[in-house]
Amino acid sequence: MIDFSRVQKELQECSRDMEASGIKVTPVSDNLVNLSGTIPGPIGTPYEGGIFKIDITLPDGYPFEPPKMHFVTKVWHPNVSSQSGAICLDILKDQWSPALTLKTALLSVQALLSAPEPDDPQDAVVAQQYLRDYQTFLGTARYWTETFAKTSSLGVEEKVQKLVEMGFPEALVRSSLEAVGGDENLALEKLCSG
Amino acid sequence: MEENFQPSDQMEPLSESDRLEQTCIEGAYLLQVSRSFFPWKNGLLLHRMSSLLNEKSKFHSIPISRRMQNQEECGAGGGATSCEFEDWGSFGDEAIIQQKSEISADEAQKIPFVADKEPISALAAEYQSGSPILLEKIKILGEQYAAIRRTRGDGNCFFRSFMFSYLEHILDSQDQAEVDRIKAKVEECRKTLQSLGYTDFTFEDFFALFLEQLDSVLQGNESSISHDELIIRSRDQSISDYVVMFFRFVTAGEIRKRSEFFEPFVMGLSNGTVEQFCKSAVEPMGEESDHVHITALSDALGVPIRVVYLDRSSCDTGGVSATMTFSTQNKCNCWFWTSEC
Repeated sequence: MIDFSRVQKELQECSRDMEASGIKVTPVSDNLVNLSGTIPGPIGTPYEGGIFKIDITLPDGYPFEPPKMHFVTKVWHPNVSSQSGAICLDILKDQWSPALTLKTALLSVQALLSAPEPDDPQDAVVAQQYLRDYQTFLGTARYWTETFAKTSSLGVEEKVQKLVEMGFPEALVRSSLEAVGGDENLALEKLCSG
Repeated sequence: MEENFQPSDQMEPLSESDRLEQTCIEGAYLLQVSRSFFPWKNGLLLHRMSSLLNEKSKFHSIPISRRMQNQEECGAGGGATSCEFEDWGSFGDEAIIQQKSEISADEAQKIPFVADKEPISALAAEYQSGSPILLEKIKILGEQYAAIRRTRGDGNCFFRSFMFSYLEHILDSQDQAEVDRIKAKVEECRKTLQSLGYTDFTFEDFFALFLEQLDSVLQGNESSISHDELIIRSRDQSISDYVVMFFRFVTAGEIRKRSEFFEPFVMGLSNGTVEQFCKSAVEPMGEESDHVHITALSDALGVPIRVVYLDRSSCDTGGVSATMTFSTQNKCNCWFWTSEC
């Protein structure tokens, strides 16, 4: 049986200091079982500037059982599945405690973005890239942030189209965009110099 | 773990009068005979020795625990598309969580959170083909205790045993002064958590539920409960787990408040800081208790706890019983170690 009065208190707390933390939690349905959270990508990481949406489902045993969380926004990170958005984080599993809250859990997810643990991966492909070719990892992670986590910027397809219209081959445009993390101007520079 | 309890200058044996003053809870851990074959641990908690009080028939007690050690691993599932160990792909987090809950459900069928009273002879029967030292120790237990109660081995056995033993003690003694005393302590614990930065709503429900149980074991008011009802509540997850969590909060608060004192002991158990230890080994449900937890809870609430180890160790003189008492009386921050050796 979910302790709904506690969930309500948690939501109030979150909205109270949303300005400071940047963490947002809102109910998706009336029953407070399905919630939606967003976290800003940490500054100084390839996720900077992105807003990441996380789907939250409260199990029957909440707060004794951990909330179920996964990324809705696609993210390139060793501890997040690039396919499903599943998160590998101890506090969302056996290290959960009723002393934690939705807000502290989301803060932990945010901290995980800053400090990947490639030796304990959720996504083996990403982890391998992180360990063997860190520069490519950074580029891909930036590109995914640019593409999926920035709603206000132009979609990647529009950028591709723009550059293709300038006369560059599409395959080269795509690889250039990816290499510079999705920044249109940097890609153009690269295409011109290449 | 016994090695952690070498007597030092700080520790002194309890005098008999001290023992008699310490009315409350006694406990014993039973370490599994052969841990290499059975990677789990049994725990027993025993109530105070009845013969000391000449009321042997009233004495009961105990919890036993049995719990698989954490063996789950993170990862190797989910999006692992090109994993070298393809077979591991089928062991995702979901599968691990499901297996864990199956193990818990299986265990739940075998034993309630707090079981019925059993004679000590039931314990002896269980170890009949085991080490003669164990049987000898069980015999000594039998001279001191009338009965045992087992508790479910879900990692919460220490806290659950403490809850039942303490509430049962209040129910039997109707000691209003003790209830007033512990309520004051509980308030101190609340302030401690607040000053450590815990958000009120994360712990207030657990505090309220414990105080409610405390009031209900005192007779003479509308919410009073019988001994049978106490057993029913101890087996009711929606009450029992809340009280366990209350103790976990109290324990974590005490450890962090006196982190300087606990730090060296924590370092012996984990690699992290005191705060990390509390987050990973005290606050989560199902994390087993060690001497650090026991000392902290005993200190925070001012309730003495006696732990009796039932293992295969013996000493040169042939003595076979060792008792550790965690007490806040006389001196703070130290525990007393007594042994027949």
